[in-house]
Amino acid sequence: MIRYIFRRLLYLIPVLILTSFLAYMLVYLSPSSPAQIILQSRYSGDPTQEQINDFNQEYGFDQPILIQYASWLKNAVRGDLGKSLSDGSEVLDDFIYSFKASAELYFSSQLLALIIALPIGVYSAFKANSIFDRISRAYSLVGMSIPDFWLGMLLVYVFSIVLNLLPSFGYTSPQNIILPMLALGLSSSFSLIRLVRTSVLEVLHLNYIRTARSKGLSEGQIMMKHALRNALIPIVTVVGIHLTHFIGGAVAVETMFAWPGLGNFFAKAAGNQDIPVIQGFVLLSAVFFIFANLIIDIICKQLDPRIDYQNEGGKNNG
Amino acid sequence: MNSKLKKLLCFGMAALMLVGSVGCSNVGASGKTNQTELKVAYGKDTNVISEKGNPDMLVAIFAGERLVEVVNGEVVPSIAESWEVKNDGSCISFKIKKGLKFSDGTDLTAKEVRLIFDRNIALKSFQWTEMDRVEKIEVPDDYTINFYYKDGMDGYIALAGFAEYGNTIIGSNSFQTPGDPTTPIVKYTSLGAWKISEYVKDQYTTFVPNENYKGDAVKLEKITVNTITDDEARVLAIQSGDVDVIVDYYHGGSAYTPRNLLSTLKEGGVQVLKQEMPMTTVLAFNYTNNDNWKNIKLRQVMNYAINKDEIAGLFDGWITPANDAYFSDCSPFTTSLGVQSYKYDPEKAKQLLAECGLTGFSPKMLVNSDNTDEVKMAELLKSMLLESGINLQLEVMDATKYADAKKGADWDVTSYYIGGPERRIYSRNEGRFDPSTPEFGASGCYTSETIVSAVQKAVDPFDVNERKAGFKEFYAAIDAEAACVPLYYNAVFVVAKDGVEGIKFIGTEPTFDNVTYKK
Repeated sequence: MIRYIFRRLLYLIPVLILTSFLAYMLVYLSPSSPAQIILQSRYSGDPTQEQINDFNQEYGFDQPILIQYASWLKNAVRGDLGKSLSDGSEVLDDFIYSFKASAELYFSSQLLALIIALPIGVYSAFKANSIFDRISRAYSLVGMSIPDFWLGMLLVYVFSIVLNLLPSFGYTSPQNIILPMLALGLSSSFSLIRLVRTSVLEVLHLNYIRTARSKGLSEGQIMMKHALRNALIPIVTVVGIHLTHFIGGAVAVETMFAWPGLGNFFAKAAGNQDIPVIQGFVLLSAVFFIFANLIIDIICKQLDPRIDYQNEGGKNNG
Repeated sequence: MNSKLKKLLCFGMAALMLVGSVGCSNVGASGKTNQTELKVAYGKDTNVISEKGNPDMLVAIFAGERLVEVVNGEVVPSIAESWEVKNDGSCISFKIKKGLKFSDGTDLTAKEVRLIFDRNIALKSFQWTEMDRVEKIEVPDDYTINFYYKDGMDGYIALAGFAEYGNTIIGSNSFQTPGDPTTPIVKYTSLGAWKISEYVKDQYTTFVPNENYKGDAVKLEKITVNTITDDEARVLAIQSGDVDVIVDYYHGGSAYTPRNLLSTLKEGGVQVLKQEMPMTTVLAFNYTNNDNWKNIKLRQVMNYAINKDEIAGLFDGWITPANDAYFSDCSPFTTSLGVQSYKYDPEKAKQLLAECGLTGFSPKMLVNSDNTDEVKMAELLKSMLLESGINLQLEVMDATKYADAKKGADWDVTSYYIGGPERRIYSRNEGRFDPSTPEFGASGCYTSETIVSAVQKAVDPFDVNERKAGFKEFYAAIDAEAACVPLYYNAVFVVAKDGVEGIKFIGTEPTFDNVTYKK
């Protein structure tokens, strides 16, 4: 396992170089120039060609793209991700701040999603085709068709405007997280309910469950000791996929609730063509994704010891 | 019943009576209590910390003061008590008021005043500040500052430029290296009625009274400006009571309350305060890259083909269609002097289009998708122009792509604005029609030597009657050339909860110095 972790960490190097280079190229190929966008905001008007030339010279954008990239990479290796072109703030500091806000929102919403989805999904599987199962399936189907930002607006209407119980935006008090967490958590739970149900249902039809039943184990014991553990592997994988919410997928909800998360952070940088911020974001997000996926693999290994990561591609040899 | 339970019940009853009496006393007295804090929603970050630029206009409105102000089209003293044009018009000298202090307690002297101008010159921040023509700045004594111009000062427009937000005076301790204006602005020490007590980027800015301010003291104890970039989230925030006021960012862009939500808000018991401004949204032609627009008949076609009343209807009547003049009557030298000759006449438009020989004319319009009002208007224009045989092609794109696309040749028309808030009535008219100015950028309106000459006569003279005559000539020139299609007069809207009183517009700036709030 340790060898496997070490090998995965080694993958970091080429992955980071490749992703950061691709990100650099994408920004470079974009039809709009950072000078135009940044200076337009700075001067409240169209910049002159002289101002654009000065800007490009100052930040090295008049250099060939490979030299620009090499210079950025050299600094990044030293831990210097540069400063935002818009306001001069340190990219790393801003990323850490937004990361913290995103982490709070992501983990709380995913926890909520699991709390809702696990019992409903498991019970639905156990009582397949019962009234409860039909209702839960209909509930998740309807829920999946509601966009998370729209759900957010609905929650604001009910809890902030009608009931006046919760704040509609902000990041200043613990109460602020409740509505965005509900919007994201409920959205995730709708699809998770179906996934849990399907996974558990699949496991319940396997031979070892039949064997457990024939040995006289209770349904509760079968569920907790045998079925759920195996059904959890795809669920953990999907929760991992939901990490996109963490990095940028929650941008609509973050904007709606003025939540200073990574989605907002990146959307603003992309809108401004703020190259150092975009590059820093891509690099640090790649690091995060690699570590997060590694942790998910380790959890999966704990859940199912038959998974053999020593073989190529981490095939299941069981 | 045991004694513990009895005690608990007694305590509970007493608490209920106390809560009840408190509730009754509120209702019985005035029904409303005075609030000390006002919460404002704003669609942008205030950029208090700025590496190379200057903070947002809201900071300048709350906490800033300038050498002069422009009120009703006239330059009036502010930090400067007087000014004098010297050396055959190549120098302007300001006398600065004595006894003023910055919010951090630093005394205001001419040396401090010059910092922002040095910054603008060093960082080439010339748009609107009019600093591009300044050759050198001198401080002969503590209360005098002289500006020397390279080729003679540009007249009244140069004086009005000192009222620009970008020329707001800030103290030496505002800069990362105190006294070095080329270093980033890291805090904001200024001279206005409010000072900044806290700023969290992209979240909020808190203003408290500036105890060193020499004018009348403000009435509230705190104003928190919350950054909420989503239009509908700002509306929901005021409906929920989480904010008390929404302030428009009105320099173009999209950070304002969508006009078609204003009626809903008003019906919900919220005040909608409107201040029309001398700024007009127009349809501008890409004549620099596209020769078709050099034909005056084609420009006239567009003027005749657009029904401005329908555009006003699109925004629930909250804006005034630009039917009579190029500018709203709220500005000096406007309606009475600048009547436009084109009235909605699709038949005439068709006839002129035929004379141009442009069959199947399909101009391309650039539309900024970040501005939902602009998208709606573009869709309406498309259907409207079809009646005159013009097949408008909409190219809807995000603000980033839009800004760059505007510089290219591959478009024909876009929505734009001429004139501006009070302080820009001079600079923006010159900037939109005179290609030699730094503000002209990529996309001014159609212009010609006649228009350039006329606009200079409008914005340069110190004599008010000469300026008036100049404006008359300028309006006549843009009308004769059909330089653009004026669509509607822009307005600033402030949406406020019931009980918020005292928001005043000075020119087009909403001010909160006398605001009281009973809730």
